[in-house]
Amino acid sequence: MNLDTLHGSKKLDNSATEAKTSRIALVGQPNTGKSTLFNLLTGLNQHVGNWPGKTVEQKQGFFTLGDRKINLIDLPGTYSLTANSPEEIITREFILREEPDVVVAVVSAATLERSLYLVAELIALPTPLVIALNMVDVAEHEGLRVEADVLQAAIGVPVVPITATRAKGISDLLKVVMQTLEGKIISAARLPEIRADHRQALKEVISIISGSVPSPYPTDWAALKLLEGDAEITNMMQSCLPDGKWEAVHDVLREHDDAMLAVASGRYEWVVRMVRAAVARPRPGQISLTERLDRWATHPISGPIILAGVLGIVFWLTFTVGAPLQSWLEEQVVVRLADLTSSAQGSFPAWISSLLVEGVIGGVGSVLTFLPILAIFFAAFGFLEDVGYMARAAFVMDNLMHLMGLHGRSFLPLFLGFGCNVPSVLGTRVIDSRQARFLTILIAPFMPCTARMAVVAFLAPAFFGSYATLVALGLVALSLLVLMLSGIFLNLVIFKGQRSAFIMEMPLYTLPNWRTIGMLVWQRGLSFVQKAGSTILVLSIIVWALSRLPDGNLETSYLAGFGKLVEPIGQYMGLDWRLMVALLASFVAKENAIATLGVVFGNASEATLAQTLATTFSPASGLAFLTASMLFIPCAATVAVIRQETGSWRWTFLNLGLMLFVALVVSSVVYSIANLLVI
Amino acid sequence: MLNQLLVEISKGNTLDINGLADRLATTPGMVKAMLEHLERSGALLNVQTCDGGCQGCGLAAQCQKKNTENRLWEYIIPYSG
Repeated sequence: MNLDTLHGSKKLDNSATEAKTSRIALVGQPNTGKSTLFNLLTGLNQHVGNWPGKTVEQKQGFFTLGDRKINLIDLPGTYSLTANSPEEIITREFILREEPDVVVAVVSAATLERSLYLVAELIALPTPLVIALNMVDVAEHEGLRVEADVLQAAIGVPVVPITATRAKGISDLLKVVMQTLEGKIISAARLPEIRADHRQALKEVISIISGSVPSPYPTDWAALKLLEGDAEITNMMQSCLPDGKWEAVHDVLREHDDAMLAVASGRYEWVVRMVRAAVARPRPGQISLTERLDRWATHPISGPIILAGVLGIVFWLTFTVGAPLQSWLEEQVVVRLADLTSSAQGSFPAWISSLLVEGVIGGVGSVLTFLPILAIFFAAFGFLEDVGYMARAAFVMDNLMHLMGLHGRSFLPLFLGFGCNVPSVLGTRVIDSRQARFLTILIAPFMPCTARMAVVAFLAPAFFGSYATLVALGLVALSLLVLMLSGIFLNLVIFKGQRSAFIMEMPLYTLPNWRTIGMLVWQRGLSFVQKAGSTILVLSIIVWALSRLPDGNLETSYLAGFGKLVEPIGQYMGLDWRLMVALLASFVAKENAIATLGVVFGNASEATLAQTLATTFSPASGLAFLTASMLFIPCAATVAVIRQETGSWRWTFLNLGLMLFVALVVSSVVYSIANLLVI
Repeated sequence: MLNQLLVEISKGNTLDINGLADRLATTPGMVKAMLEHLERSGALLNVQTCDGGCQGCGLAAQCQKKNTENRLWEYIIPYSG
């Protein structure tokens, strides 16, 4: 961009030349309350347009201050004066070329560290500066006390505390502005210095360009901008310096290619000094509590232990409170309803009774009894989300994954998989590399989703009683181990050990909002009931039909025929044809494993499904079935998303093949070990 | 301080802002300001993670709360300092 096009040829139409008219520029970072102050001072007496040659909004207005007419220009919100964006160029060019009488920098007391960086640049310019320290009320609310007098003494320019939203401190601000306009305040700004190891380089650049810097740019400022790598100033200086001098400058810049950091670092050191001098942080409340808790919750050793403990408590609570409720529902509602329907057999054909008792009540009814378990599970995780712990859980797990070699970009989508594998696969869009993305998609469904956890929540207490919590934790750990091993492979083969650092901004711990948690439980519970009334109902009816046809005998049914076809594979895992059919049915939706077992064992109406399963299968078979359920191919919805995201059936089938292989191998190993241990 | 921050980031670990502030003996606000600066200058990439929506995400409740943000930055340029 040619700098002249911005202000040189088309200066602002204003009354600056009139007697006793002064121009004041309002400068500040976005969200510091600059526009609020502008509106407060100018009211309706303002004009809005665009900056010449730009789509950036230009606002100026007028007001009277004593006997002066003030032309107030609201410069675009900007973080610095380096030519990174049109807003930054407009702001600095206006200050340098239009030379307002005073620049008022609006800084936020609540985010002083961020706001002062711009001030560190502004004080290096020749225009008189006044700092409006806004949002003092917000800062105080957050436990910060900013001493304006101390800040003023430290920076060496006037600092006036204001609260623009309540029009507080405005008259003091205007008084200081007036005194500055009248030359009654002479500032002695303490400027930031470039980092010590680059001071010589700065001197060299200043000496080379001295006398060649076009007006109105100060030489020192232009030299700093050259070291910062500012594209506009670099182009300008290249065009106005003789070849020999430019080459000399270029040599210095080449020798100091990290000078950009040295300049910014010097400014941040300055900001640190100012903040240290002027900000008091009593903060005995929320933040220090968060920090104290995080010292444990995010620690590399105590963090994973706490996470395992938290998960253990969630499972324990789920099994201790939810499982008895589930049993009660099954005994009092499902079994009684089945009995009631059977006793009314005379009123309608036998096949309808069988469909209702074994297909609908046995299938959907069994699944619906999960509801208390899921409600507790959802409420526990809703609570952890709401108080802010889940961000820590993500942090701890990411750390673990990093230790195991998994690339950070892969972890992000994987974390989503804890809820549901569908958003997990969609979340891989964050990965730029196609190959890395596809491979992450391959392993994403290993993350134990809520539906898989529901199956575990139902079956673990049935097979393992009081050890259900340990078994559930072990199954989650096993899934994560498989995922991590896949991740290591992914990292070695695809990312080739490339490092990435993730920096998370943790939210504060807060007290739980019970309404939010209640809404979350309601929404997820409703979604589960809808699934039970649609997908699971349809599949239950299909499974029932296959289990009745052709002759009404389960052992000779199409379902048994199909199940016995795959039974030889199941024998390595201790699974008979019924468990294999249940496992295969989970492809439609994970909960269908339970619905299918409900249909298949629907005849055993005297006992609940859990009791029937516990007496029919050994714990070793139960453990192998749970392992297979955790690692088995993803549900149909996830498969559809994998196909959509990869656009390839080859990758989709590769995922199915990989998961099938892992599920069969790991479950067989688990079954063999469990048998050796005679459980 | 900016250099120290980059040295910490370039180790390639997972970091949180409070922990970084502790290590640099400064405030979380200062760390955030410097991270945003590095992001604007292209040294860090603010990773957008919500392409799949909020369903199932353990951080969704926090993101939807006022005045809280979960941000993830990825370090994208090598640092030799």
